Amino acid sequence: MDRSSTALSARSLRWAAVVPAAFLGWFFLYPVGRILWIGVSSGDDGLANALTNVGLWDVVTFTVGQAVASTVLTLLIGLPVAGVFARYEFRFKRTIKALITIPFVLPTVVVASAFLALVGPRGILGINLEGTLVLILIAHVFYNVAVVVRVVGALWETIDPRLEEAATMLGATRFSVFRAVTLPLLRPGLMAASSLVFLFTFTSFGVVLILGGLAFETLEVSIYNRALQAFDLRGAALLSIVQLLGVGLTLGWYAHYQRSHALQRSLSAPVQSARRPVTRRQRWWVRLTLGGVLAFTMTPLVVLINRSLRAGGAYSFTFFRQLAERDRAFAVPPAEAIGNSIAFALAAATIAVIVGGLAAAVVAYGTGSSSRWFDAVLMLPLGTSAVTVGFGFLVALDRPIDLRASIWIIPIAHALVAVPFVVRSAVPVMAAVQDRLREAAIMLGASPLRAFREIDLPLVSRALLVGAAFAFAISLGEFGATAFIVRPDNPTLPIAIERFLGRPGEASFGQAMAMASILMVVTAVSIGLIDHRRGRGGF
Amino acid sequence: MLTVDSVSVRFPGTLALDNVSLSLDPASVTAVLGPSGSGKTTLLRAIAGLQPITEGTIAWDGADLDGVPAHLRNFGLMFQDYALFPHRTVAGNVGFGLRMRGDSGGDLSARVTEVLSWVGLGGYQNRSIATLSGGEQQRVALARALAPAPRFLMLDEPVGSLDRQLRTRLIDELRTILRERHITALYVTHDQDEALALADQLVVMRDGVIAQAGTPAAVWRRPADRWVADFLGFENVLDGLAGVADGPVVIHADAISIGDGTLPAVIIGQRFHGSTVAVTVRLDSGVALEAHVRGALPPVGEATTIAIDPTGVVPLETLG
Repeated sequence: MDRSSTALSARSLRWAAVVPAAFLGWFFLYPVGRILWIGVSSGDDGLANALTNVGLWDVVTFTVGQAVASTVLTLLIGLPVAGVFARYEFRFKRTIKALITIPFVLPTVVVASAFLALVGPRGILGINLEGTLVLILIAHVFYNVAVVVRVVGALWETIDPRLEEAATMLGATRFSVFRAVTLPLLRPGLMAASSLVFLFTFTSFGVVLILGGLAFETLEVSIYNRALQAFDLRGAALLSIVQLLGVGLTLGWYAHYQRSHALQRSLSAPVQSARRPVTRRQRWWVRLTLGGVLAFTMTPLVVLINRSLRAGGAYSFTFFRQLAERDRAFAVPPAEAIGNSIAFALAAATIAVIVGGLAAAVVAYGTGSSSRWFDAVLMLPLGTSAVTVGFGFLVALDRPIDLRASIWIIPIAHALVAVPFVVRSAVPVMAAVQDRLREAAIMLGASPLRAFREIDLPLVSRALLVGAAFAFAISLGEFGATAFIVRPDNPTLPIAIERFLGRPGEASFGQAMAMASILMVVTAVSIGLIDHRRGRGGF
Repeated sequence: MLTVDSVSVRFPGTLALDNVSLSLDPASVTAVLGPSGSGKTTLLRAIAGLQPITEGTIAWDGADLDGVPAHLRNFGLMFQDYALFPHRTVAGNVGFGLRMRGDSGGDLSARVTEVLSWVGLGGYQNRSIATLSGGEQQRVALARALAPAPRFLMLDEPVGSLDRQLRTRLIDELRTILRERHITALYVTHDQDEALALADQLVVMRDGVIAQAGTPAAVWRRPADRWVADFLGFENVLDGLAGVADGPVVIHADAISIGDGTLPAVIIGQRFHGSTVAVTVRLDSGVALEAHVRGALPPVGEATTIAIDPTGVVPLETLG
C-alpha cells in the first residue's frame, strides 16, 4: 500500500535528518575515524611492535578474563532470583524488583564509593579489599545482577509451568526437570543476559579504575592511562581499536545467535504462572533468595549513606557542610561540582531531545532501507565505550573550531551517549501514532498541520520527556567520557567524587561519601520517576 | 448525493480500483461487500479524500471533489478498530470534530451529551479510552463520527473485531440510528450477514471491480456469476443439472423439498439448524445437493425423492 497523503513528506524528513546526521558525523564518526587513523598511521615503529609496547596481550587477557568471570558469577547469582520472580507471587514484589534494579542504574563512581565504604581501607567491615580482583568481581555482579533477573525472568514467566509438571509426571527429579526442560527453554534469555553482562564488564571503566588500584588494567583503564598519564596517543588509539573490535564481535555474535536461534516455540500468552509459595520448603526458598539478594544489593548503598553521615564517631551533616568549602587541592568547592553537573545534565538533556527527537522522526516516519540504516548508525554510540567517546573528543575536536576549550563539550559528549535512549523511547510511540489517528483527526475536520499538533505532539512529547529524564540521569553519572574532557575549573560531580576518593584524609573520604550519596539519591529518583510514568501504561 | 464515476486507483504494481462507478441515494445505506484485498477499503479512502485517485471523478451533488482536501469534505469516517485518540477522554474524542469546526463551551458539551445518549453512553464523558470495553469503544467511535453532523458517513468494518453476539446487537442499534437520523452511509464489510442486515443497496467487490450491485434481495435472489454465488455462501452452486438447467446454476437450498418429488435421491447427511434441518441428498447422477427443510424426515441412508421449485433455480453468467 502506498503512504497516505497525510504522512510527513520525504522532503521534510530529509531536512529533519540533517541535524542528527551532522551531530553524529561530527561528534562520533569523525572522532572514531581519527582514532583509527592515529592508531594505524602515526608512530615510527611497526604495528606489531607498537602492540607489544602497550602490553596488549596482558591487557586483553585480563579484560576478557574478568568479564567472563563476572558474567558467570552474575548468572549463578541472578538465576535463582529470576526463578523466584518468575514462579512465585509474594508481597511487595514490584517494590523488591525496583530495589534490586537500583544498582544497575547507579553511576559507576557511586558503586565504587559504596564498596569502598563497605570494604575499602576505611570500610566499616574492617577488611580491605581495595586493589583485589575479588572486589572488582563483586562490584560487577552487584551492578549486573538486575540484568539477569529482568532479562531471564521475563522469559521464564512465559514458560508454561505445565511443561515442567509434565516432566515431573514422567518421573523426572526436580533437578533433572530444571536441567532438561527449564534450562534449555531459558537459553535465549541466558544468551541475551550474558551478552549484555559481558559487554558491560568488558567495557568496565570506573569500577576498575577506582577499585582496582594500580594492579589491574582493563582495556578502558589502559586507554585512559596511556592517553592521559603517558601521553601515548598512538598506544591509546590502538587499544581503542581493539576495544571497538571486541564490542563489535560480541554484538555481532549475539545478533548471529539471535538470527540462527529464532524462538521455535510460540511464546505462550503469559499464563498465570506465578503462584504463592505453598510448601514450607518453597516458602524458605523464596525467603532465602530474596533476603540474600536484597542484602547483597542494599547493604553497600545503606553503608554508603551511613558513612556519609558519620564524622568523628558521631552522626552529623559535617561532610555535607564541608562540600561548600573551597580547599587547596581542588579548584572549586565540591558544591559547585553539583551545580555544574545539574547544568550540564539539563543542557545534555536538551541537546539529546532535539537531536534524538529529530532522529526518531526520521526512523519512525521514514520508509525503506535508508531509515533502517539510519536507525542502526544511531545506535552505534551505545555499543561504543564511553572512554572511546571521550578519547575521540580529545583527539578530534580541535578542528575546525577548538571545541575542547568550550564548556559545551561536556554536555555534547553526554548527549551523544544519551541520544540512543531518546531515540529508543520515542520511536515506538511515534510509530504507534499510526497514520490512522492522524487520518481520524483529518476526517473530523482538522487540517494536516492541526492534526499533527493535536495528535502527534501531545502523544510524542511524553515519550520525549521520558527520553529527557534518561539523558538527565545518564549525564549526571557519566564518568568515562567526562574524565577525558573535563577541565579542572568545571568539574562534574562524578569527577569530584573520584578525585576526593583518591586523596588521603578522613575529610576527603567523607566528602566523597556525601557527594556519592547525593548522586545516588538524585539518580534513583529520576529513574524512579521515569519508571513510574511508564508504569501508568498507555502512552 | 454522492457519485463515483469511473474511478481507478493504481498502486505500484497493482490496480486497486479498476473503473468503479456507483451512486448513493440520499438517506440510504450502501454496503460494500468483498473479501480482503478486493479494494473496498481503497474505495472508501478515495471517497474520504485520504487516497488520491488515478482516474475518474468523485462528486457530491454534482460538484467535483477533486482538490477538496479530506478535512474540508465534511464526510465522517468510522475507522476499523476505531482509531480513538488514546490521550483524550470520551468527551475529548466525541467533541474533537466539533472543536475543529469552532464549537466550544456549552454548545459543544451539549452536543457531546446528545450524541453520547444516542449510542447509549450517557455519563461516559470523562472516562478514559483505555477503560472502555470493545463494544463501548465502538460506540464512542460512532458517536465521534456522528457528532459534527457529517453530510455523509462511512464505516469501515465497524464491528469487525467484536464477538458475534455483540455484533448482532450493535448492528441493530446502528441500523436504528442511521434510519432515524436519515444518514447517508457507506458501510464496508466482508461479512454478508452484516451487509444484508443493514443495506438498502449492496455492492459486491472483487479484485478492484464491482462484481454486482443491487438491492440485497435482488443480489441474494439472483447472484450474477459463480464467484458472487460462492462468495455469498450458497450451498448448491453447480455447473449444471440434467433436466433442470443446462449451464451454471444456483439452486436455493430452501427451494428443494424432500419426499414429494420426482427426482430419486438418497439422504446422506443431516445437520440440525434450529428451525430448519440442512439435509444433504445424493442424486442418481452423483450430484450432492443441500436442502433446508422443516418437519420430520426419513433417516440417513434412506431412498427418497426430491422436488425443486423452479423460482429457486438461478442461472449464472458463465464468466468467472
